[in-house]
Amino acid sequence: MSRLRDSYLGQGWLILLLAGAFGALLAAVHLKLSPRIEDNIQAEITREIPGLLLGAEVLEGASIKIEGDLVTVEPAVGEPRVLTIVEQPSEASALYRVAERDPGHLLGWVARGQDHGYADVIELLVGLTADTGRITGIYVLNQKETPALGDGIVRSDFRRHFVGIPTDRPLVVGADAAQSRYPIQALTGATVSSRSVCKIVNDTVALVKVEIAEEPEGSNARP
Amino acid sequence: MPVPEPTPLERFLNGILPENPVYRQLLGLCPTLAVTAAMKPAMTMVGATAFVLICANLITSLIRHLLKPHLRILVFTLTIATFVTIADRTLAAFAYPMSKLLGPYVPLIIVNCMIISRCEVCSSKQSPKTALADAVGVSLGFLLALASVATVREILGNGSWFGIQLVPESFPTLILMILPPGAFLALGSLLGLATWLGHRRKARASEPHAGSA
Repeated sequence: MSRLRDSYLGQGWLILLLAGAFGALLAAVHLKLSPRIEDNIQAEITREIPGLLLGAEVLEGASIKIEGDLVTVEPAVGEPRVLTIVEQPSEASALYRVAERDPGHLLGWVARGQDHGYADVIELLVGLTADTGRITGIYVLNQKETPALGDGIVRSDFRRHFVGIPTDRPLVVGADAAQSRYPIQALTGATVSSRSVCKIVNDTVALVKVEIAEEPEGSNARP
Repeated sequence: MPVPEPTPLERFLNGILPENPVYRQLLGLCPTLAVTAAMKPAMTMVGATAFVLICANLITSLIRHLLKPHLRILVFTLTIATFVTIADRTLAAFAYPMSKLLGPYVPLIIVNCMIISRCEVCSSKQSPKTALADAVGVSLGFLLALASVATVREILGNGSWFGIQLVPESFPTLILMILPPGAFLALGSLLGLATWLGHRRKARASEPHAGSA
């Protein structure tokens, strides 16, 4: 009897029991809340896509209306622009095809990619031109990097480094950047987070390029 | 003779001022500094922390007779982590913009020493009723602390309170106060004020009454 009491099971039965009960509780919470959380994320993605492809300056003072696949951007100055955003079947967690509704031409692509950062998973939206030749912008959907260091990846001054960079070569950061034509300046004290962002962008761009190349000829010109 | 355990009312009242987690025990300083640039995120943090504290205190009090001394911290951490995850997911589902704004600070409630200290000091030793009173009192104390720091920072830094503009737009504001150094300045000043008031009260209480000699 005393051997059982002194064994790992005898000592840790309460922790095992609690772990089981709390695990079941968390599973129930996840099942109940995850559809709602995913809806919130989807709404955020739809709101951010115009800024990634049209440029952040177009959205300054602009109002955005979302109706299904149609997103109307009414800038402070100039004509409203109506975009159609269609999610494509993709091996990436999501790939969106964005076109202007009226002229009917393809504006670009936005893909959702993720990988491990320093603290937890970093999730990004990566905007690409219609021919996938250049990056139009990145947006950080989700991160839990170190406050005041790694969480600087959400700041516009860091994200601005990626705008307009050609996608013919993978991005490099920090000490390796001397070999690149378009170096990405790492955030001070957050090299791991900066490298993770570059890796996610590189992986996502590579995946999108392969998937779009596999599409039937001429399909990219569809409205 | 053993010292009697505090009653639920004593626990409740102690948590608000005499044992205020921030101003007296210097616990929970990470959220106090990080999310007090405005009242709305500060109050959301108080709500999430109060939920975790109340649930953790109740659970550990209910199982207090089963706790083994060398495994108790593990049980506390497991319990706290569970309720922090629930609070984090609930915020992401029902207050998504606030959840984004608070970022990693909601998951960081897990390492808030204020909560684990209440499990250790009160709920692992006393009844659920006392543990609940203690959790509510400490939560009110935490609310008082975060509200005071956030009020100073938002009014001085933005000229607003809870997002409501209090001073005219043309009135100059101290942007520094809503930046990280402003958190240290506000907390340091308020801590100094609270300590000075405490000392003054103690000195007055210990003064011999006039004419009593």
